[in-house]
Amino acid sequence: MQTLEYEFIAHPRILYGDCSLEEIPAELAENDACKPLVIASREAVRRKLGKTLIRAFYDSGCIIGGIYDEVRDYAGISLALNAAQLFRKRGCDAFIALGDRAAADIARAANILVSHKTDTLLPFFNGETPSRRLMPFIFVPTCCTGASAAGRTLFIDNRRLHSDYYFPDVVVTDRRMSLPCSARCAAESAILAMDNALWSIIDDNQSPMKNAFAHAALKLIGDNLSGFLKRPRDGKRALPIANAGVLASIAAANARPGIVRVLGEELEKETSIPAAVFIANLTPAALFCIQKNESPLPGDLLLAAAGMDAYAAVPTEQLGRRGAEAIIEMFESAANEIPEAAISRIPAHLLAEACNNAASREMVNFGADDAMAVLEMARQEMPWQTHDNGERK
Amino acid sequence: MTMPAYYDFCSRVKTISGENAMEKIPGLLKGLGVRRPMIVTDRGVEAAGLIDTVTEAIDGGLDIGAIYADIPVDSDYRVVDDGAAVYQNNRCDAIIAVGGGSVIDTAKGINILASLGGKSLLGCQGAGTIRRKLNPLAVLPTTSGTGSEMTLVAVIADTERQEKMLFVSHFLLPDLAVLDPRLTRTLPDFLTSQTAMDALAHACESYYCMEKNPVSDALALRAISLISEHLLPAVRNPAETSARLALANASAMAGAAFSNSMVGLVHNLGHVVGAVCHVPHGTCMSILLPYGLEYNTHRREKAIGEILFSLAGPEIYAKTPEKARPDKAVEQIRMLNEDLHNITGGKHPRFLGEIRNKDGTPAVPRSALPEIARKTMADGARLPNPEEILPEDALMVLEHAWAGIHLDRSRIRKGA
Amino acid sequence: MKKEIIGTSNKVLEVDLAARRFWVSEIPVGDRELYLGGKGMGLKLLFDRLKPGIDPLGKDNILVLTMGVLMGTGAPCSGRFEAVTKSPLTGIMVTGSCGGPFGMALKTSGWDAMVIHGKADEPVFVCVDSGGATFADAAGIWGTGTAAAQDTLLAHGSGAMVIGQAGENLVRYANIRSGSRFLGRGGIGTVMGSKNLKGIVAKGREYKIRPADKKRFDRANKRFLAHINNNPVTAGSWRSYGTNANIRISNAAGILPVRNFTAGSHGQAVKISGETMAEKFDTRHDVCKPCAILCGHRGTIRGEKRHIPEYETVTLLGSNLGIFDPEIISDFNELCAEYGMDTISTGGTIAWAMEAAEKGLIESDLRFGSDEGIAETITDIAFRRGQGAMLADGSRMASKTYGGEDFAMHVKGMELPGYDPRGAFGQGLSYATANRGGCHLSAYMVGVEAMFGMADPHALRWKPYMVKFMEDIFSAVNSLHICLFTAFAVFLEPPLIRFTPTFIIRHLNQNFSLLALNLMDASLWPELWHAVVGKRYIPYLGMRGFYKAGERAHVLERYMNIREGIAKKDDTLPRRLLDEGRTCDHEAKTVPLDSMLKTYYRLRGYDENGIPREKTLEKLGIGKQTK
Ligand code: SF4
Ligand SMILES: [Fe+2]
Repeated sequence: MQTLEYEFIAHPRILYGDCSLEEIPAELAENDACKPLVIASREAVRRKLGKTLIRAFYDSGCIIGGIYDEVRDYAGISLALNAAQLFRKRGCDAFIALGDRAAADIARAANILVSHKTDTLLPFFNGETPSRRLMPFIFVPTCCTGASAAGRTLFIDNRRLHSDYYFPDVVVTDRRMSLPCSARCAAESAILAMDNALWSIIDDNQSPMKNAFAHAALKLIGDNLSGFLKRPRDGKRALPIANAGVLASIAAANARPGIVRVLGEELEKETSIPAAVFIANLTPAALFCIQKNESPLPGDLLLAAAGMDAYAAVPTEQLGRRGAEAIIEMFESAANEIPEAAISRIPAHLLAEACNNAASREMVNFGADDAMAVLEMARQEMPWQTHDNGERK
Repeated sequence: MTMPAYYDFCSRVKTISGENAMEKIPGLLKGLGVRRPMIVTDRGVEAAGLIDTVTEAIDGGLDIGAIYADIPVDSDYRVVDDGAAVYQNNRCDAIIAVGGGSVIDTAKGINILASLGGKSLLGCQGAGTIRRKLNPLAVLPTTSGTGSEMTLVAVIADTERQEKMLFVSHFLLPDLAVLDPRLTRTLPDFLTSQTAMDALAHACESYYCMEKNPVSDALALRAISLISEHLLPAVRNPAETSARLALANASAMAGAAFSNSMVGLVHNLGHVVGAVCHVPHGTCMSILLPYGLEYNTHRREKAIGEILFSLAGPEIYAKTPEKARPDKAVEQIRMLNEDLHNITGGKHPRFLGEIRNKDGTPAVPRSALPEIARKTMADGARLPNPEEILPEDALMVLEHAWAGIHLDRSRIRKGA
Repeated sequence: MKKEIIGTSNKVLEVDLAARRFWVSEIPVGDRELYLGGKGMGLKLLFDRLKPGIDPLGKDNILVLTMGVLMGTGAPCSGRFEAVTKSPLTGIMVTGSCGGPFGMALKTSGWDAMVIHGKADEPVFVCVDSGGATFADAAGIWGTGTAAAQDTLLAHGSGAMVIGQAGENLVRYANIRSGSRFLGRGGIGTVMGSKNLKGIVAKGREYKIRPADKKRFDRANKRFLAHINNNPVTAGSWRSYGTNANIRISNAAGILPVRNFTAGSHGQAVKISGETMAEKFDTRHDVCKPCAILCGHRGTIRGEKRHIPEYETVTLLGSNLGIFDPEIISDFNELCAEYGMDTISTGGTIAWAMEAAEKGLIESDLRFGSDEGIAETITDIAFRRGQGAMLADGSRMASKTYGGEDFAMHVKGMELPGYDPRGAFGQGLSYATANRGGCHLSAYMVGVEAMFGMADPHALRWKPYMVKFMEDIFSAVNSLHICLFTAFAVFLEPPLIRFTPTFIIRHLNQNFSLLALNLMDASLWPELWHAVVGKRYIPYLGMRGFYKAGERAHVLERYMNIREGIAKKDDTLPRRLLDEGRTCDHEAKTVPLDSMLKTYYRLRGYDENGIPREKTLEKLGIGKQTK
């Protein structure tokens, strides 16, 4: 029986589909804005996505105030300050982030700077909350978006700030924008979306709204994953997966961060190996740990991943296990494109440090030993990896 | 699930749910910069003692600027103007709306006027008037049905011109929806049942209507299971807090779902029956819902079959062959209505002919049906329905619903 | 009559601090041939002993000290010893070379190397003589600065190495002092601190070191000396002004780091140039022994006799903080010397803190251009007080917590020295590939690109070849072990180079690099080596063999780092160098690292992820147990 004690918010308006880009001017107008500053990742500009965005503005009364395209993989205050300066100089009145997570975070940070008429985020690092009236913020994810880009977290300069106002007002998933740039990127996007959805469902806060978002995401992935991995740039599959990423990050914004993601992020910090690599490799172990501790996995997993008919065919007591199997299968199929995370090659003291850091992160509900158990488990041969002669990949 | 080529979804309401949800209001409102909210409600709610419960719960955290309880059943723009004046005179900076659909709509109207400034809501009409964030609005629904806490529309009557002013804007989505079982404690059983059926209608319709999308689908299915699981217990025993909380959740989710995917035949006919015959919306919904499913089955066989999963649970779903699932779903809803009819001692009607006015006369005389059917053409819910509805179709469905018999499928005109 | 060692003793003194015991092991003959001595030998000794993945500050870390074969023979600039361990700053191997007297003392006590295991329960210092090691209680000197500690230890021998408070407090870039020279980088002093080891002192002067082939040695030595004394760098500018002779050159070439690498030159740079300081402070030589170049100087600063800050200190604690007053820089230098802290990492970390404060990432009054609070900050770092605790972990760790990673100027955790690679692309590649992290001494490409104008600083062609070539040579030179600065003389003085006009060399380097590199005559070095070890058991090495020994040491270190998780992802530069152009450079050039890196890996025999291929290791004989 689920307890319905929860808070939930899904702030972003989600636009999905072929011509959704052309909706942006209208969205801006609705927010009384007409001169957005585009914060674009270099990669997006290199792929000429900035041009596409500009073209979508041709038939509208809006003009783009400027494109700030200095963003690479790191979101730091330096870039945000520059972007804010450009915003002021050009007299802009809204932000469009085009690209990955870093572009979104620079837009969030610059938005605070201009809306609060300040040049420092220090008060916000120290706990001040941003005002309700930030500038309109539209996010157009391209590829390699990473986990939670559409969520309520501002991740800048390695600090995480949380507020409902950090949600983008609009998230646009458009075929021209949101196709993966490579097979690896495709696999990572799918993995991160699955991770967000998975741990949102496992989260002890059983908000049915959050679960609905996670469910929708997982279902979209379940329906499209295999085709997507085969042909990552086929819009029919890729777009729903990109959309799943958005939905999953909204769900995750309303749940505790999952153990695998937190651990992956902390390991990335220690080793500079991308978190997605760890997430791809550690999830089976984490699910196995949960089952070993005899904590039941919610049947919802199976329902979302495999659909009603599969779910209805499984006896109640097996729902958790079968759900885990279905999820693991999805993870493993995507993990083929991602290098193995050789946990055994990472110095033990770094692993221990990552576990400690993970356990001391905000809002987590696991301990350092739980994290360590997952790593231990990942190091061992997983029972379900043995089905094909013990050979993985 | 077939992914639509285009969809959009927006439901940016912060929802707090729980047996102590109201206690969180002060903290959350302060987070929105609120100091002096005005409570907007109606006399019925006030008489039921709910305002005391609310003020007690948020006691100390906030300075309540005013309590505006003068919202009549048939609220109109003058009520809004009055309320906004009270708001401004008391230097309030936010609204807490406590009540059902009408209170919530009025509160939205007051918020427009109070935030944008001006003397009368009449001056705020026209597309694109609302182009910025309004002042914070918290909604505490006291019925679990309309889902207005999750919608972006406000309908305010203009009695002089005999018109309804329709305001649509994302800024009309409340900032906060508070789902607390204490708010629905005093609701009589037959109202619980009818409003919940309204929510069920929202969920089911959103699952088969034209603008369905992955998010509205997921929300709708969850709402349906919550209602099918908790409605009977809640009606049987109003002290079941968890059941009532579940219904409040279902109603909010169904609200979020339908406000993004729209509603169809059930609401199309229901709106007009309600308007012409002054029948409560929930009553119309309970009666018409099975017909909505039946009327659209040939277009949405899979989706309507899937409704059975949430409605009856995986076992029954698995046992029913795929072809038979839509009918089984319809049957489940009819059974539910029957059960509700019995539990409420007949106060939950099963077909249109059965509805009585207070004086015992039939509320929907059979003779009214042609007029109703004609008027359905003008209702907005007509278009999103998967199968086209022309007046003669509406009449055909209404006749069945009047008599309480299964829809004769051969009479549905299957358009191209 | 002193006992004699002909060539090398090949004896290793191994010490276990936990058990307070020692034992003696032998350097296998094969290893001597493959790894020469110094750095190469140190790495090999560590490789054979260190488990991968251990905590550098834990009891399992091992500190190896080695000398080269030239030490004690009187060859010029041979008075240098090497330390090798796993760095607490970078988490990978760190090697360091130092010209202090400890090396000579250890060698003349009969040891070619010393290996320190375990962790003492209580602060200790170790006394070494030809009979082995004894352990003494260091409680009395725990907490003292490097000068006082060294004085105490020198009562027990002729050469000591000690740590200061920074090492004790586990500042991750604490260094080791020997004489007035330092084992500067990568926190080797921190490793000593983590072992509760305040210092080591060697009796020395117990053995005389004699080259096996005296005649051959003398002949080579004479030529070597002549080269050094002819070369305008070694005998001219560096002898007169030390490393600070570079300030003017760097400023002109736009590679002087200013304000945390936001600019490449500054109008006030002349105030901190070697020339100005020589005049202002009335400098005298103060050098490693023995040495013929004589780059180190001391002078009278604020009425005291002080060591003149080296180029890296002047840039990192000076121009890079916006400070152009040599006296103030010297104050900082003295503090760092006393606490035993790397000036480059200290300066680099403070520069990060200044920028972080400016941008609101941390609360601090440190500002570019102002010396206010810097001395206090240095002290806070040494004692891990207040914000100093965070800065004591270096800019990488601080930026992982407080942000500003884009302007944390480090590679693999080690703060960058004083050359901005946006004005010398080869140096950029070398920063990225240097085994110990942000280090200029792995290939010193700025020398080729900016100092001597022998290659276009912004050309990409052949840069990977040159970097590999220089890395191999430097690695070999550090294994001899002799001062790197002799390279100027060895390379620039042989007739072919000397009499070829620079523009032709530049042209050759740019377009026929392989040819040009192969024309370089470095035969002096292997010649010296052979003269010392003699033909006892080793076939003639020659120039190629010499280079190959360097390559072997380099790749072994890489291989050891790979075991610690290093890969292509780590062979990178701070984002500032890759993304941000500078205003002083109208073309706003940034280092095009990726294209160079690819070629470099190929040349090195690494795979595309930067991991040495099986074949490469095999070819170099790495990983094989040598007997
Ligand atoms: S040149 Fe300088 S560093 Fe090298 S040995 Fe001589 S004094 Fe020492
Ligand atoms: Fe309704």
